[in-house]
Amino acid sequence: MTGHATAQRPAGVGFLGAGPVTQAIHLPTLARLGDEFRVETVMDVDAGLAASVADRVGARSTTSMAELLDDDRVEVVVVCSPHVFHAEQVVAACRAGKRAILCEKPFAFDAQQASGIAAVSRQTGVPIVVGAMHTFDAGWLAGFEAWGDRTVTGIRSSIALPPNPRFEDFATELTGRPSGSPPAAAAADAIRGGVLGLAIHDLPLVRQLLPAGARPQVVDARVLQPGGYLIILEAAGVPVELHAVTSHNWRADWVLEAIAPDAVLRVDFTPSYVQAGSAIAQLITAEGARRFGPFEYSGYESEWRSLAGILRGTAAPPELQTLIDDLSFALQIADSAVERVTDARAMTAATDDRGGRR
Amino acid sequence: MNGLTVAADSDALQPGAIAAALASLPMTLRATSGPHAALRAIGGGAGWCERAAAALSEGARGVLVARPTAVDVAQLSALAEHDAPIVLDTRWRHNPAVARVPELLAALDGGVSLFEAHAYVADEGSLDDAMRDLALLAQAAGGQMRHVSTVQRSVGRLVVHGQVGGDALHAVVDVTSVGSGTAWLRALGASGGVQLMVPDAGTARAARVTVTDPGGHTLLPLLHESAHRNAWRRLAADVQQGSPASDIDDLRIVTAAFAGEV
Repeated sequence: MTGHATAQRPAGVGFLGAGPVTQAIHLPTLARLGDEFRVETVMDVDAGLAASVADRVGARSTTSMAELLDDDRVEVVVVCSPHVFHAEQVVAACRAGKRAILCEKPFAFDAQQASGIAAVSRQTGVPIVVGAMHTFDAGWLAGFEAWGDRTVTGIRSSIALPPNPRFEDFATELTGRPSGSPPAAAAADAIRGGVLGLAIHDLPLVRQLLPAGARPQVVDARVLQPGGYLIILEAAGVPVELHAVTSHNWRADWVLEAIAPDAVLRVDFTPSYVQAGSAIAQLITAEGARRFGPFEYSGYESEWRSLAGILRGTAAPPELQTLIDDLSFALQIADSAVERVTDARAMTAATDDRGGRR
Repeated sequence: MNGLTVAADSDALQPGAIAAALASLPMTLRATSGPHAALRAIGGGAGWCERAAAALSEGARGVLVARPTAVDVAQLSALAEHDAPIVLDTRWRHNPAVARVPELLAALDGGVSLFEAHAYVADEGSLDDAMRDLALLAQAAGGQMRHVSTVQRSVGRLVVHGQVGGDALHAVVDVTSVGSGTAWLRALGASGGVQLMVPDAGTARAARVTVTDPGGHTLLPLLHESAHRNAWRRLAADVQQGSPASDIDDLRIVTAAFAGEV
C-alpha cells in the first residue's frame, strides 16, 4: 500500500476473519459508529462466509489477506482470525502502512513475539489496540479512579457464563457458527485455554490493581467441571483468585473485586457480545457505597471510540510496553498454572471420594 | 412464669449478645442468676469444652457456647459423650436461612462445579477463627467437609480448598473493615446455582437466599432473625425435645478436616 494520508472520516475498516467475534461484536459496534468508521472489506478463508458477512454491511469480500492489505480504502485492520495467526497478521498490517490495527486478544503467544510486534509497530508508526474491552470499560475506569492509590490486599476475578451462543444470538444473527462441541481438553490445555480465553479479559485490570511490576506466582490451579478453572496466585505479596465456570446456567455473573483494609471495589461486567452499556462499579467504604455506571457505551464501543480518537489525533495510542506487560502477565499465569494443575489433578485422583451430601 | 431459665457467664455476654437474644424470646427463655438454671451460656475462650462439660455435670440441661475458639478433635469427642444439647453460637451457622440451602442444592441438576465460601472480617487476628466459622456454615449448607488444605495465607487473606458434600470447596476470608461479619456461599451447578448471603450474627437484617434455575432467579422470603436468636431457639427446642444438637459433631468433622484427618 502506498501512503494513504486520507484522514477523512469515516475511516475504512477491513476484517481478517469473519467469525462470531466479527459478526456479533465488531459489526454491531461499528453500526453505532457510522460517523467514524465504514466497513470496506471482510476477508475469510471461507469465501462464502466472507461474502455473506460482507454483504450485510455493503462491503467487499475476499479470501486474500494480501488483497485486503493492498487496498488503500482499508485504513484500519481488525484481526479476528484464530489466535495462531494474530502475530503474523498484525505484523503484515503494520508493514502495509495501515493507520491502526485492532487485534483480538491475545495478540501474541509469547513475550518475544510480542516484543517483535512492538518493534514493527514502532518502526512503522502504526498503532496497535488490543481488543481487551474491559480495559476500556467506563464503569471499570470510573471505579478504578475512585479506588485511587489504596493498597490492595486481595483480588477476586470470578466469571460464570453460559455458552457463547446465548449471547451471540442476542447480538446478531450469526452465520457460519462452528458446529458441534469442542472435544474435551486435557487438563493443561483446559487451564491454558481458560487463562488465555477468559481470565485474560480481566488480567490487565488485575495488573493495574497490583503494585507496579508485580510478577505472578501460581500456588494452586484446578480444572472445574463441566468447564472452568480455579487458580490461586500471588503477586507482589497480594493474593489473587481467578475462577470461571462455564455451564448451561443462563445467568451470567462476571465480577472483579478488589479488597483493601478500608474498601471493597466490585465491578459487575455485562456478558460478552451484547451491547448492554458499561460495567457497574461499586466502591464500598465506611462512608457508604458509591456507584459508577452503567454508562451508555459498552467496553467494545469505548474500545472503538478510543481507536477513533487515535485516528483523529485526540487520543494517545496504547503504550506498547503496557500491551507486552499485560500479555506477559497472562502468559506467566498460564504457564505456571499448567505446571500446577498436573499436581492438583494427581492429588484429586488420590483422594477423591465423594462425601455424600444428599 | 414460663420458659427455660438461663444463666450466662460474663465472658459469653458480649460475643453472644446474650441480653438482646434473651429479650427477644421472653416466653421461651428467662434470665436468672441462680445456680440451677436449665440452660447455661459460656464464653468460647480457652477451656470452653471443659466448662461446657462442667455445666452439664452440674445439672444444666443444655449449653450454648458463644463464639467458640479452636479445640482438638479429642476434646470434642469427649464432650460429645455427654449426649446433651450443646449449641455452638458461631458467626453464621445458625442464621435461619441456612437451613433452606441443603434442599436447594440437592435440587441442582448435574452437581456442583464450584462451591464458593467467602467472608469479610475486620481483624487479621481472627482469620483462622473466621475460617472455621465459615467452614461450619459451608458444611451446614453443603454437606460433610473433607480434605481441607490451606492454599494461601497473607496478612489480609486466608484461602482453603477442600470438599464439601463431595464438591470442590473454595473458601476465602478477607480482612477489611467494609462489610465485616458478612459471609456468603455460592454453589454453581450445570444449569443453575444457589447463593446465600449471611450477615453478622448479631443483626436481624435478613440473609438472602437466591436460586437460579432454568425457570428464573428467585429470592426466597426474607427471615429477619439473627443467628444469635435462632441459636437460642435451637437450644431450647433441642432441650424440650430431648434431641442432642449436632453442633459438636459438626465442629469435630470440620476440625478433623482441617487437621487432615478426613
